[in-house]
This record gives sequence, C-alpha cells and structure tokens, in this order.
Amino acid sequence: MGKRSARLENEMIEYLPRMRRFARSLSRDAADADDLVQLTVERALTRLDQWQDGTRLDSWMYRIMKNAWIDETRRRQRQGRHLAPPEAGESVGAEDPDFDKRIRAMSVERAMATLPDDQRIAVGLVLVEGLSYKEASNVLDVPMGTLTSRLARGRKALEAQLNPDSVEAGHDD
Amino acid sequence: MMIDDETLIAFLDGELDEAEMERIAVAIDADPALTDRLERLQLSDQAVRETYQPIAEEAVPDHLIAAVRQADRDTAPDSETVLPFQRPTGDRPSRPAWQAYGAIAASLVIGVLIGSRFGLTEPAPLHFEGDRLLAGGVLATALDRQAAGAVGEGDTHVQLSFATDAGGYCRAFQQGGTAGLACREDGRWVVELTAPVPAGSNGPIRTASTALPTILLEAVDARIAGETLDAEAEAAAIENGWSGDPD
Repeated sequence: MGKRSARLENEMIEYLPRMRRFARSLSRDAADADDLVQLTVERALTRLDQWQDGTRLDSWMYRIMKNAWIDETRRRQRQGRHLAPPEAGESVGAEDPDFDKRIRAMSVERAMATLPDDQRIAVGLVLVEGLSYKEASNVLDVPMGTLTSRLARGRKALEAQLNPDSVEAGHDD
Repeated sequence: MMIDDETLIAFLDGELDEAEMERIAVAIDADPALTDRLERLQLSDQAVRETYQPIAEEAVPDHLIAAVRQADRDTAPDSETVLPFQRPTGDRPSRPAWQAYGAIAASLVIGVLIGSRFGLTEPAPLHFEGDRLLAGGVLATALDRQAAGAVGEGDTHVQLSFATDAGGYCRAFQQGGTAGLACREDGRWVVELTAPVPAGSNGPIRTASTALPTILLEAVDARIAGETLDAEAEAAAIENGWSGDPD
C-alpha cells in the first residue's frame, strides 16, 4: 500500500511534465489540460491507499488521468458543452517563432481532437508518452489486441489528416 | 506480401519480436508502396511527437507542484490535531522577509521571550561554531525532544524525521515562514539548510501542515534512507538521543 513521503511527493512532481504533456494530448485547451493534471494529483493523493507500492506510480497516474478525462467529457456532453472550442486561439508551441511548426502543431491538435476518446488516449500513451504496448494496455486495463487496434485506427486517421495528399486519406480538408 | 497497418505500426514502434521485425524490414525493402506507407506514418507520428514534446519541457506551473505538496499534507492523518502555527495577532508581520539567519534567530528569540522559563539566559537558537551553523536553545530542545507533528515551545514545529544513508538522523523543522533541515552530528544538530516556506496556500493562518519548500524536500530526498521515521521509530530515536549518544 502506498503511503505519503517526501520521496513519493518528489516522484510525483518529477512526473508532472509528462502528465501535462499527456493531458495536452487529450485536451486542446491548455487551461483544461492543467486542470486535468491538478485533478489527477488530487485524486492520486486521496487514493494513495489504492496504489500498490512497488508498482509504477506514473502508470497509475496516467490511469487516473484517463478516467478523470472520460468522466469530464461525459459530464460536459450531458451539459451540451464542447470540449475544445474550434476557434481556440492557443496552440501547443504557440510561442515558437517558427511559423511552419506552429501551423503544423495546430493541424496536429485539430486532427487529435477529431479522434474518438479511446483512440486519442491510446495515441497519447504510446506515441506521445512513449509507453510500451504492454504498459499502455496495463494503464487502460484492456487486452493488448484492443490497444493495438485503437492505436492503429488512431494513427491511420492522423496520417490521413496530416498528409492530405495521401492516397489513403479517407477525406480531404 | 500483405502487411496490415497494425503490424506496420507495431514495426514502427519496435513492438514485434525479432524475427517479425526482420521479416517486415525485408518486405519494406522489396516494396516501394509499403515504403511509402511507412514513411507517411512516420511523418505524421513525428509531427504528433514534436507537437507535444515542448509541453514536457516547459516549467511546471507552481500551483500544480503545490497541489502535490499541499493536498498530501491536508490528507495526513494528524492534520486535524495540528495547532495553528502562527496566529494573525497583528503584532508580528505574518509573512516576514526571511532573508538571513538573523531573522530566524530573532523570531526564535521572540518565542523564548513569550513562553520561556529561562528568559534571556537561554542560549541562541542558532549560532555558528567554526564554519557550521548549530541549533541551540529552544530549537535544539525541539529537535531533541519534540515529535513530528506537534507544536512546542517557541512555535517550533518538527515536520519529519528520517535516517540517512550514513546511519545518522536528520529532522526538518519549521518556524513561521522559515523551514530548515538539521542533521545530528557529534551529539549536536547541524543546521544544513534553511529556506522560506512558499507563500500561503493555507490563507492567513499558517498551520503546521504548511507545505515544506521544494528545496528542502529535495534536500530530504537526497539524504533519506528509506522512508521517514514513523511515530514509533521516532520515539525510540528521541529516547536514544538521536544516535544512542548519551548527550
């Protein structure tokens, strides 16, 4: 059973940059993404007794964040609110002086936002966060085959949108 | 050869066994259409990674770090029994600019004057001996005798205690807006670090459950062997004078 310690806090803080990155792959809105990180930290700390010492704290945090995100999207859907306003001006890397990169980052964000949640989460964990298939299927608590299928569908959809001249693109912009 | 997208993507991710990786590599070499598909996937994968990578390189906002420190303290089992650490009485600035050892020393002296049986004859809570800063007076008493989580004489509060890899003991303490780390050496407490406590996520009343400064927790983490002492181990260490040293 996990317990509070300075070391555990430090480990959590060490993971915050990655948690922020994962949150941002889920939510286009930077403020929403950081709210998601905060919620994850709060839930993790109040449920520390559910964390098995010796298992990976980061995987556990990813799982909490994934669940929090799904709860949040459902809640907002019930309220009829959109998650990522399409006109949102902020973009990942918006401070980057390289205009091409900025445009590309915006395309990526837009493409990610079109994916169904389960595909986006799989892409976020494996492609963005660099988890192995085994780690990612653990986080999601799904069989490996389910993960690879979601991942493949997500990656193909992203490819089709990001390379619009692709012969395999299902739809063009 | 037909290779489905799942396999191609697993190949890109290095998730196939060695024989399968080899087989796909050969197939790609032999098939320009497959090479083209692979390159397109690589291109979009790279765009996705490069889009999100800068986020992990940004400085983490303070409020998220505070959420780790703070929420944790708030759920600590003893947090409700902890007394207000510094009441906003108005006769002292609630958040003084602790810049120098002189400031903490002055504050500890105020504690002595308020609650002490010894008055001005009490030794200074902090003093140099050679090049080392030592705890004395109420601070040394608190470090010697006080359990972590309790508020004692002079408002000094010991936050946590731990053993070091070298076999010694250290304790993190807090007094008003300043926290410090003292380690036991030769029967005395050497104050290795002091740092200002982050300004108030707890509102105007500072409680003993205030989060410790990051720099201090990092110092704890650098020295700690295992976990912090639990109440029992701490009581034993107090009983044994923090090293079995009969001082």
